[in-house]
Amino acid sequence: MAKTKDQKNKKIVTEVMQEIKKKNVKMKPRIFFVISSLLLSFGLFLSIALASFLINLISFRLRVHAPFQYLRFGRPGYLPFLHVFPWPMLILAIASIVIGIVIIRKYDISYKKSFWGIAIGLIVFAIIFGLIIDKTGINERASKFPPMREMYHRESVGPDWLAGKIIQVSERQLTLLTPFEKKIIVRWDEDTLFPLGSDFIEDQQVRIIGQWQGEVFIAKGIDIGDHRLPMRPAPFEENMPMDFRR
Amino acid sequence: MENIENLSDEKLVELVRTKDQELYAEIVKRYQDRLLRYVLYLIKNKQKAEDAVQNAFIKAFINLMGFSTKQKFSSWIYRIAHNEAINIIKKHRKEILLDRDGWDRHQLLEDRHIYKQVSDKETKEQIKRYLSALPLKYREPITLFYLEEKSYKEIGDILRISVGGVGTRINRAKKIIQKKNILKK
Repeated sequence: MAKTKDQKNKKIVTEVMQEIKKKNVKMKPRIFFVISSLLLSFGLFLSIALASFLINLISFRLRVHAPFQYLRFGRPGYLPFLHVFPWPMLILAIASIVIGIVIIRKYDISYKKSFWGIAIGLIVFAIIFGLIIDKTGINERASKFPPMREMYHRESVGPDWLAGKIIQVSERQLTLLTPFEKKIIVRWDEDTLFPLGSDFIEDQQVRIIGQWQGEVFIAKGIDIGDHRLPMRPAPFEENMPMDFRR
Repeated sequence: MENIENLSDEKLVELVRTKDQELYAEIVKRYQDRLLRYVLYLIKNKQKAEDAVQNAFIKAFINLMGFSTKQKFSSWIYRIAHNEAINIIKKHRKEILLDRDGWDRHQLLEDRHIYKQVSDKETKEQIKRYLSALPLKYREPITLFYLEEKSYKEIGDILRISVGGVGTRINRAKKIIQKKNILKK
């Protein structure tokens, strides 16, 4: 038995060393491992930075475009909600976090820590950092530059809904400016629902559902900014089209 | 030069990397028995185990520059051999399962070298007896702990799991073995 074992041992040593001597196998140079390690670190940094940036964009879009507010219109608000909600950013942010976790798992020390601890830590870090970026106001400045606008805003004009900033208020009529600077005339009638307890003023952001009549949009419901009060039918007393306080 | 047999693994690796690649033969000699024994516990097929160990040494050589001498070489090489064994298990799952009882484990278990290091002979005997009945997940740490006499930290490094995870798996494996032992009695 001892002989067999020796022969077997000899076989492994011989075969391994033969491969080395014949140069069939070569050591990878140190630089290969240095570059791999740097790439891994860079990949991790990039994925966390991207996730944080996307969360910052999501926060901005939720704040400025307020997709959840469309749900106040009930069923007619579902489609604009789906359109305005920043789905691609959310999916990309999740993908970035997943990539970050996969990269962390490749680090030698990662297995010593709890997987869920690492995953939750990374998610919390990306969310907090993203929200901090949004709080700095950098988004507001960046979104004004035409090349960045596409990223920050989405044209909010649909077949039965639209959103934008009020630039002019007149009798039973608003002129809106969409995020991509399209001017739209909006009119309302006695069936239109309005937010309770406020007037329209210039520079206000509004979300409207209704239908197009040629170039004019006839509103069925208008919601202002981050108004959270219930809605009610439009007042139609003479001479006070903008006063909804009855 | 200091006698290479007295050099630590880490120092020997440094010499292989910087001075003489032929010294790698000493590393192979130091580890081949231990790795073969461990891999055989996992894949239970002598020929495949030998192939796995040989591949492990070749892969270790290729990646030797990536080994940090701050680490323990033993854990590093075991890790490579472990991965090779797992790859073979995945590749030949059906074959290895069929081979379950046919492998010549006694050839290695009877090796006196192992026996003289045994502190708790009875536990070891039980483990050996029921090793093949354990799922791979539990067979790995219990083999490393009782039969290869690795510490929890080293096992964690080899299997890439936390020290707590090693403890949990070993305890579960022991419970399975105890249960099987009681059932047999």
